[in-house]
Amino acid sequence: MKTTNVVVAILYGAFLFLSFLYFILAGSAIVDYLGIDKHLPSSLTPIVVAFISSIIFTALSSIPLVLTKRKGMRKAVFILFLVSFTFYSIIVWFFLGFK
Amino acid sequence: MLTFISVMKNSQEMNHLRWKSLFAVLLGLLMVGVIAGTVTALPQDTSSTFIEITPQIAEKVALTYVKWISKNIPQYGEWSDAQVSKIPQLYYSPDGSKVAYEFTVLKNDEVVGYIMISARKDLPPVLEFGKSKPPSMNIEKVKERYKVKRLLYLGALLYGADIGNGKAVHLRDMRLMSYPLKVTFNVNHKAAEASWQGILKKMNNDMFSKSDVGIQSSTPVVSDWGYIWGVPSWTSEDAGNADIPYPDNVGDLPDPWDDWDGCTPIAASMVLGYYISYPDKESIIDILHHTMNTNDDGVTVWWGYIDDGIDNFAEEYHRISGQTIPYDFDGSNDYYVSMDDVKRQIKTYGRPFVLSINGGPYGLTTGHSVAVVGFTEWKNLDDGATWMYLTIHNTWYNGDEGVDTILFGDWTVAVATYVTANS
Repeated sequence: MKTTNVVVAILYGAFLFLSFLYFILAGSAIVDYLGIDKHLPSSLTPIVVAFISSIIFTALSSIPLVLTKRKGMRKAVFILFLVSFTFYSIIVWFFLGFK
Repeated sequence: MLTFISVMKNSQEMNHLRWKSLFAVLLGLLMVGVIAGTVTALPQDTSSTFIEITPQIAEKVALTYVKWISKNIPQYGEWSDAQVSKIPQLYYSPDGSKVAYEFTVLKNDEVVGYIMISARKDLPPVLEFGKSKPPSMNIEKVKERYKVKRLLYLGALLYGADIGNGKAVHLRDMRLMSYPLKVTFNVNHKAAEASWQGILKKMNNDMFSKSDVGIQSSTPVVSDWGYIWGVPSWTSEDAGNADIPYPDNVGDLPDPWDDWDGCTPIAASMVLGYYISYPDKESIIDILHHTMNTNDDGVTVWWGYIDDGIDNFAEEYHRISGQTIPYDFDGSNDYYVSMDDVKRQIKTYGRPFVLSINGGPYGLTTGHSVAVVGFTEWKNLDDGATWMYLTIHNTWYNGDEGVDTILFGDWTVAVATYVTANS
């Protein structure tokens, strides 16, 4: 793996980690305001929240890829979505909440 | 061949340029993210921000504000003539910096509350206060099981005893939690610094002097306030871990889940309890525990469950008891709560509401829900700084002990759940 790829991955990872609470908050607001959760079993809600949050994250973080017209953009966007979705799912399932 | 080499060269240069652009945009994006998350926490004037507030200064500030609070804040009249403990308990931020001094408020040698004074100049002098026992009084309970390294302050009502390995025990409900690496506070840091400058300017520099005339003149005035009388202050007291399934447990019977019913159902039960005289406290909490999908550990996982749980309360009560209540409750979440929203709910509509707060974005921590029943707006006439303090029912204690006052913005994110009772 090229050094540049590693650096880009680290930068994206840092952005994902630093911003997770805000993206999950935004995703929650969308799911809640649109009432998406009301049409689904409650156990699925965290997954939907993680899904919407990762869509927003992927859309925003793909902007640099679009601007620079990088090769293999589709793959990169898919990886961004997959990683953010996995990370947000873990957060929403195991760490978010009020006690 | 020359053309091919030229094309290859151009292609390599283009690729190199694209990499450079990608780096630039990524770095920009990262910086925007970091700035968005931390800009409010970053001191504008580093040299003055980290000038230490000594325990002696903090003690004078605490005493001055205890007297001021007794005269200006509803429900704290009994703090007149109260004193503060001479030796404060120091709280740290996860990064190791001092963040708050906790003083015990004493009247006739009896504990009548606590007050948290900021140890940092970029935070307002008063962080929170309340009639409950100081959080640090529970430290002995933690020490029975763990070796305590230091006490942590992660934001309003989020204090813990650091037991190492990134773990802390919450000083109120004794739950084990992972604490964040960094904590941000969404307050106006410049205004906080101005407030501290005013205090330090007017303060008698002789720490042995009993005079606090100078500092008294730096206290603010209450420029606006609102309070809803009659909102119950309670906690859940029924036992847990019983072999009784829901809804058979509803009421005083032991619950199938943990002893702790969860802060969110308890906070919401106080809001609903303001409107209805039946069912009883434990029944409201148990039903909300069910409708909010609160788990067996007492954790309500997601904000969306809070308003939905309130929406479904009346129907669920009717389903399990056959009785009806005179109201149909409508909960709605506000993911960007402002001071004006608080004023509107409390003062204009007279509606208590649930506030769910999280501290620290750069790590993982479980938040806390409370019932908001009032507010006071403090205005410093010298520098124009305005702070809002929320009077909340903390869900941990019954009655007066369950009343705390927290600084608006002393958190990383907060979501309000407003409740409308339609008859």
